[in-house]
Amino acid sequence: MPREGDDPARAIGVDTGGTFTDLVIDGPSGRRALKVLSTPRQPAHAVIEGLRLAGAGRTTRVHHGSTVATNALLERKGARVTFVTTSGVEDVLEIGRQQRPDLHALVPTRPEPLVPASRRIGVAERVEAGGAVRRLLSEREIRRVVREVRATSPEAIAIGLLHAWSHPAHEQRLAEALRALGVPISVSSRIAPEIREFERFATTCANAFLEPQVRRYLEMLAGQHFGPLEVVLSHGGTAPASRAAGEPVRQLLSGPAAGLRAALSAARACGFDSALTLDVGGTSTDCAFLGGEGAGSDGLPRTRGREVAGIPILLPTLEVHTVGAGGGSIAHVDDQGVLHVGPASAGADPGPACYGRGGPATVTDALAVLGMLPATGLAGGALPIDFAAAEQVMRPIARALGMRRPRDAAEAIRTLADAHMERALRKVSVERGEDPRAAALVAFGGAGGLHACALAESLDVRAIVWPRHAGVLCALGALEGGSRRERSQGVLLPASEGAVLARVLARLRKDVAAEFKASERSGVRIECWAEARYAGQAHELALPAEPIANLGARFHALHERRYGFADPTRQVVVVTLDARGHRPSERAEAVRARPRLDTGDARRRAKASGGVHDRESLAVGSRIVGPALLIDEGASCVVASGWTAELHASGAALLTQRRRR
Amino acid sequence: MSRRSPEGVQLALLRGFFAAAAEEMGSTLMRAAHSPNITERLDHSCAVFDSRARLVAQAAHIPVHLGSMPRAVEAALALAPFRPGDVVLLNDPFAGGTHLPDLTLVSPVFLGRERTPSFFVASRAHHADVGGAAPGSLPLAREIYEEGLRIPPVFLRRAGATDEGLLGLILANVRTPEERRADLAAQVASQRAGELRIMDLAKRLGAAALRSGATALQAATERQARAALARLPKGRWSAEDLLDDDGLGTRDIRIACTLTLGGGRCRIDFTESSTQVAGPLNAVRAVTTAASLYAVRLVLAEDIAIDDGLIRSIEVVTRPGSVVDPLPPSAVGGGNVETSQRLVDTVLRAFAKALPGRMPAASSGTMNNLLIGGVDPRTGLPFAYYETLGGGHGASPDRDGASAMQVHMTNTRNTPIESLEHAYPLRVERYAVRRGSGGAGLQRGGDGIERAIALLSPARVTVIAERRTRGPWGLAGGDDGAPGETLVRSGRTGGAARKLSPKFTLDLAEGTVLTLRSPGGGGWGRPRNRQRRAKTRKPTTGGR
Repeated sequence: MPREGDDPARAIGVDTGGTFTDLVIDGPSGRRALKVLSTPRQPAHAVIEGLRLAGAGRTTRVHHGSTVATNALLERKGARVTFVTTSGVEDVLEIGRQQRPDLHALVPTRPEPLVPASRRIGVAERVEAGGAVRRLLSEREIRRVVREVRATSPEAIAIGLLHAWSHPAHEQRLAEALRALGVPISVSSRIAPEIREFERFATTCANAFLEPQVRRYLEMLAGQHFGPLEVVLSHGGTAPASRAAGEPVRQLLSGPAAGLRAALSAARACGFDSALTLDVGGTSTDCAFLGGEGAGSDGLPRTRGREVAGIPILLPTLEVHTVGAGGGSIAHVDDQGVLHVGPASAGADPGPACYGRGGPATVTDALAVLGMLPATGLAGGALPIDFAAAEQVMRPIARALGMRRPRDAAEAIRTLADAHMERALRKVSVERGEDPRAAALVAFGGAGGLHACALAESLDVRAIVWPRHAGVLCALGALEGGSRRERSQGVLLPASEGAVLARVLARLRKDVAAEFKASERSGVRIECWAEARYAGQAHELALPAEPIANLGARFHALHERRYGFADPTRQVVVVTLDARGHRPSERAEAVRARPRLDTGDARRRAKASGGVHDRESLAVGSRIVGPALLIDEGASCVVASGWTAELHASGAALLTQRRRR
Repeated sequence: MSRRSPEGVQLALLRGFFAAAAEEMGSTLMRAAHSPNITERLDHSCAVFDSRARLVAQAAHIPVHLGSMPRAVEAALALAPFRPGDVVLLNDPFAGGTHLPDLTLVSPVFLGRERTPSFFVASRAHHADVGGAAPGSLPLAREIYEEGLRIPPVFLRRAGATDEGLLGLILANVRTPEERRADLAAQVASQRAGELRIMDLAKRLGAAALRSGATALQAATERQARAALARLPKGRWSAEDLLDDDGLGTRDIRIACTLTLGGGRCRIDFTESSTQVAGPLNAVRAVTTAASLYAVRLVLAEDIAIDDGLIRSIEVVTRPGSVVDPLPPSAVGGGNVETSQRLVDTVLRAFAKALPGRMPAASSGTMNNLLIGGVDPRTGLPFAYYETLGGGHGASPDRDGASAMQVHMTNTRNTPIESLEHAYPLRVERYAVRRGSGGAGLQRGGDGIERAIALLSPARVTVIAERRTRGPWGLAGGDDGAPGETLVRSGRTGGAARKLSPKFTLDLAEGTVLTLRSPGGGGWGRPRNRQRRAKTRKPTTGGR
């Protein structure tokens, strides 16, 4: 608790997770981390309590990575939405892409659309692919639509018309008229101006569905009399709460995004240009390749159309691959004697057996039995570990596998969990044409450091970076990600149409700049990206949009590198243009410039072999020869046999493999 | 990975490694290919085989490829001996293929310095056109020669060098040669990705461990499959179902099977099915096997891996010269897409007798294949558009059937309206759930789809559809789903819609509006029991 008379923290990053709400605080005496238990029913409680404990005051800037939007979508608890669309395609929202999610289900099911048929209203209007108006939208029709929409008593309205991504006039006229109803309106040509009607409509409806609830939540937090509130968006940067509240679909994937930004900074501080990230959480592991060819100059790879809770979100998000293997993944042996790990998870309650609440055998229990967890407990001692319970649940697994010791079963579980993670790491690296061998493996999350050495060996990665604050990296990223706005526009034009593309880019730049406060604009850097493909292809490659003059040539070269062939005679089509504006967070820079770990008389500049080491007690340059265990607030890292860890000036532990004989 | 780990762990690890290799092939193919058929609709599969052409792992998007790919590798084996860098191409349905648009590549994988390959990798993709009488290569043919270019196993690449003469011959015989060239290049890239991954695995684990591991995986799957089969009731059940017609005048084509279960065995005998037909509704044996395997795996409802262990635990019996095992040179294009659906329906109907009260009613049972080709007036270039339409799913004992979704042997995505109108001289006038088409019952069948497309230029249109005369069957007293319909309305007269036959190829004028209505699923249980239940509690599913 802050003592009487203390200065309040300058800035706090706070990230809501399933079990813990993490905070990183830039306070008067430097940077520190804090974890409080999450309050899933009322996430704001944990956030507010954490902020109070962290010493937030009226001047403290708060950067918040929130799961409110994601959870509302998962639980389908949102507003009563009415959807206005072109007459004849009202059911697109329900038909989707016609696919069944599970190929081999005897009775297949799929999620219900966010808006039922009774609240989908067709409008007599039609625009053709080229923009020609085939059926005019009359004033009389607009009045009829307003009446019909009013009769459904909506809490929010979504508007999505065919071809509006490139020809938005009809949508804009409808939105203008519907404003009279006094409820929030989400317009597809504004939310996600991209071709593919189902995904655009679904994204727009999700936005309408989430807006009232997210706005209430953010307004409530903003009313707590802390300083300015910034919200982490899916690209890992932040935007002011007032702006974020209107476009909640932009924060659906903010969770892992902020962590990735911090992970890349940590790798770069250690001298690596690219990073393979391993974020091991309770139920899943997120992997990404940063600083690769498909990434922007910020080093982060984008993708679009990711599904969240069964709804495709047609907005750029960071490209992360998730596998259902984490600390809580349940291990069992089937009746054929084959071991399985995940995807079922013990969750936070009861949690793994070693939480002492009667949970099942999990990966965390295996690590406990293998001596890879600190005896002091997890999350800085908040969660004590019941080692006996972990060993107890390993016994039946060992028996079923024909092994003698619980330790053997634990080893097998760890090996299998590692294999799942390895597959995810390969998916984002070699399968994308990115070479992991030159990259650093950045391990974070509570357990990332526990799996890193084995995975690095399998992937032939030579160095591991275990960043400072590895256990709260998303909160750190929220603090350091800087202020960001992004706008994109589908174009679907040949790369040779330079003049038209340049006009669209100029408009996007202007739109992005306008989203920053006038006082901030001078510090904003804007870069532009294009997503392009060969005519007829459906998958795009991303590359810098400028210089537009040689966009086509650069695309051929990139296609050759990625897929081993190119066809310079074939037309290159630019599908989407992106403008990304970024204003670095000044204070974060200042803190980084003042290294905290360079002196420390109390710390030992150790050269130790084995044992358990608290990172805070190590001085820069200390070397720990494996096997050994490093611990930090909320995270630990195994230095395997054959590896050496060195405490880097940035505060990260840099693990390298000693030369193999 | 430790080599000392016991078998159960070793197997789980290997399973993941092989599956990852197949998946990596699939993602390479999907990203690099050009045609919407592969990139948007995902009509392709990739797989890893052992040296004896037995399936080790498969990344399947399309069930009809399940269990049919080993035939392709077997056929390619006839070209042995192989050299590293060889790639075999084939599409002949009577020599390892399914129907002509499915082009399959097979490559040997050599580990270390060995003389004969230890593994094979294969990729199969549906190409939008391989020549023949109509755009899209699914015409109402009488002989396979009308269906397109027939390619027996040949070397597309020999020791890493492409046979340009062969490639030129193929491209000279198809309507969209540049797209074919690009898609084949993507398939070759995918083969290479698979090859490299297997070689990489051999370096890590040892070639011998990889080979014996593959065999052990198949054995483990077979044990699991047989254990699951042994839990099914013992006995013999027969079922039959009918295809509407072959498009050339033969109606009510009979698909009949006898299912024998017991002691961990499963035998499906199609001997009593109709003799082969003149039209393209013949399903080659590889398709019949694929449909049977798919149906059995649905019933087992367990997470059983798809490899040779599953394939060999199911015995499929066919009579050569029948509609489910035709002889050359019969036409087979629709066997893959339509007869395959009826095969699944028939096998599931037999299981419905074996497992009363557990199986769902019939789903829409047709892919509603629509092919439109012509010249795009905006560019002067030829175009070929292919699309399939989902339908209603059968109701099950405890829930309504899902609406407007792909069923059984396909799971391709639709082409978005906006993309379609951008790419082709077509306009979608209506795309809707066909309300009320699901069969009534205690649980209702899912509804079909209605899709109306206007032709903006003259075009040759082929439709190959089924369940137009009889709707998908209900079960346990539930009503049948509504049969499908194909309607055509001339744009000029603005006159009444005309109902068309289930299968046709027609030249239609600019302005014509073509409407496809796909069948609803069958209902389950008596309709009046639903009303009775409605008084006491809420229905199990909403969504209407």
